[in-house]
Amino acid sequence: MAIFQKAYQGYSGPLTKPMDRTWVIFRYALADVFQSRLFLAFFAVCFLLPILLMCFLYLFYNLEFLIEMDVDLEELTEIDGNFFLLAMQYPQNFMLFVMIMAIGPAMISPDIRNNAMPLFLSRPINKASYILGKLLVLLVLGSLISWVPALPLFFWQGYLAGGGWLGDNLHLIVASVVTSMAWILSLSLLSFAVSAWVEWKTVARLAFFGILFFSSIFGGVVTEIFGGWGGYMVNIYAGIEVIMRELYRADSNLLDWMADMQIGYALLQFFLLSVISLFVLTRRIRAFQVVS
Amino acid sequence: MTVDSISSENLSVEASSEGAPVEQVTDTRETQESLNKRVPVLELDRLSVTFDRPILDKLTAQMHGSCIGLLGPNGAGKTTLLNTLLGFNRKTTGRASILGHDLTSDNHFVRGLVGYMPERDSFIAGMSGVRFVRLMAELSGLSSKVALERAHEVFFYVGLGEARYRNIESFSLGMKQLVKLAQAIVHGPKILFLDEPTNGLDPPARARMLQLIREIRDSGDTKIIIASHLLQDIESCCDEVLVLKDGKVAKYCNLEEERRSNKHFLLIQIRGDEEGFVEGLRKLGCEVALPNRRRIKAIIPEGVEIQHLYALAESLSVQIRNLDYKRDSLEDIFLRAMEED
Repeated sequence: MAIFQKAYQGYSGPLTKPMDRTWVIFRYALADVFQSRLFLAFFAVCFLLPILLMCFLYLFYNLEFLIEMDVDLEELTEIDGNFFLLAMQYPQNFMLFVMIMAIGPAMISPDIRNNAMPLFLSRPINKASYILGKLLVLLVLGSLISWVPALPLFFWQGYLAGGGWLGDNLHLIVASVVTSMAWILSLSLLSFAVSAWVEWKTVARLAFFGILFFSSIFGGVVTEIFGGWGGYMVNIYAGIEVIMRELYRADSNLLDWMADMQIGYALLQFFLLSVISLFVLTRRIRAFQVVS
Repeated sequence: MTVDSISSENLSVEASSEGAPVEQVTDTRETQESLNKRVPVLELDRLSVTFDRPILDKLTAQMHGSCIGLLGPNGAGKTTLLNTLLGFNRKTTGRASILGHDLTSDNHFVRGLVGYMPERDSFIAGMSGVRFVRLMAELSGLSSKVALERAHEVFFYVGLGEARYRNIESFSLGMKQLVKLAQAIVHGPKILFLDEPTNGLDPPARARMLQLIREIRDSGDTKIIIASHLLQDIESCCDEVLVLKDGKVAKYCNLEEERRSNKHFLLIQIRGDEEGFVEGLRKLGCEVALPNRRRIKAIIPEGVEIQHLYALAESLSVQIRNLDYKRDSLEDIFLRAMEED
């Protein structure tokens, strides 16, 4: 018979390790995310692009098919950093943005609005464990739709191209991992900070979109008026563009519109955005409200 | 026997209790041993908390009860004291310990011993009751399997077994209070903090909540600290009370001792020779006071029984019209504490 049906009893059994509590938060938050069928459908759609690109690469190196389609081999573009940046990383960044806008604000704000923080923080976990547990969900899901499917694509391309292509382009793997993780991390922290501040997830989503949208417009206006890199520092997406271009070693004419900023400033922008977001988060995530 | 001092800056009340050397405890089993050795459940040593103004002012107390009440009017500092004990607030000066563990140096460990039922509605949106409580149990360190088992059990224990798969947002206020209690006890804490546990409950639900608190207290597995402004709740559950006023200790009261010591306190109403009756009572060894006409307050010493009073009355041809055991209620104690400056 259940013990509580007879009388209350304490518990003196074994306890899990402190680090496991972070995984508990991660596990529950992940399960909550996949309760939405809409998100499940979106998540599946995110894998279409890598699959289509794999098919494209297969056809690209299929000489019989190209001859049958009457393609001029001289006009074929080269598969290099420019290709992966434009065909893979850019669309992935958009998907990451949509994903984080959809689930990021919904992870923190309901807990704050429903006063759940005292329940978390009265237990043997701290703010860092709580934030890390939630952040891991976005890092894992974001990775699964960005650099994880990009890896087999690079190896597939290396296999099809042969001739040491993979060895010559190993930097593309680093570029994909670093760029995706930086984008996921900065957007996740920003979405958490906004949702912790606003506390209503729909409003938080709008605010998150607004910050990115208006920062790019404001940054553009500043650049137009004053010139230099000051405007790009305000534009959140400009920083990640610069990091992408540098790491992918992209030099295509198609990328001429990209921000003209040194990578050091882009990294500084990423650092500042993360620090400010974390500062807001730690200020807002607390066990009680002080009433003056 | 030692004498423990309970005082704020200008107040000192003494309470007797057994003392024992405090040992550092490193796991649950050792904690149980410490409890048996009567380590203070709660020890405050000139504890102060200041936000934009002083909220708690040099609280000093040492309490050993199995259920401790923090009593005081709104704004007295009860919730702030609870929050400080939970590690939510940073103390400004002084020190506090729970079950012999310093809150500053052993904060993480102390939180492993604690269950907390907050005053306000607190839940995680979009979760069924049992999933919510299971999550809380896992966060307290129970394995996933044990957490699920105990989550189901605790729902039956608090009387919500049939509603455990419902979304918490659909629960009534009374049910939410019980869910808050369930999440606080699911991991079998060594010390349970309850902040206004009967807030918003109708009389039957309130009685049920108080009954649960008494059962948990009587189990001996868990010490309880209740913050409330409801005197009846405190009186029905607690054996020690700390009355707070303006962030200071206004009064310490050991209800258990009060109950025992006032057992022979009588209020007697008579008709007849009052002076002779009073004189007779004094000869029997009673302490006698005459608060008003025809009412006699008497503290009867050991060995004197009620029939001795009736024999005295008969010998003086005095009618005893009313005879009542009387003791200071918590309300009397509280009101006196509030009146004292």
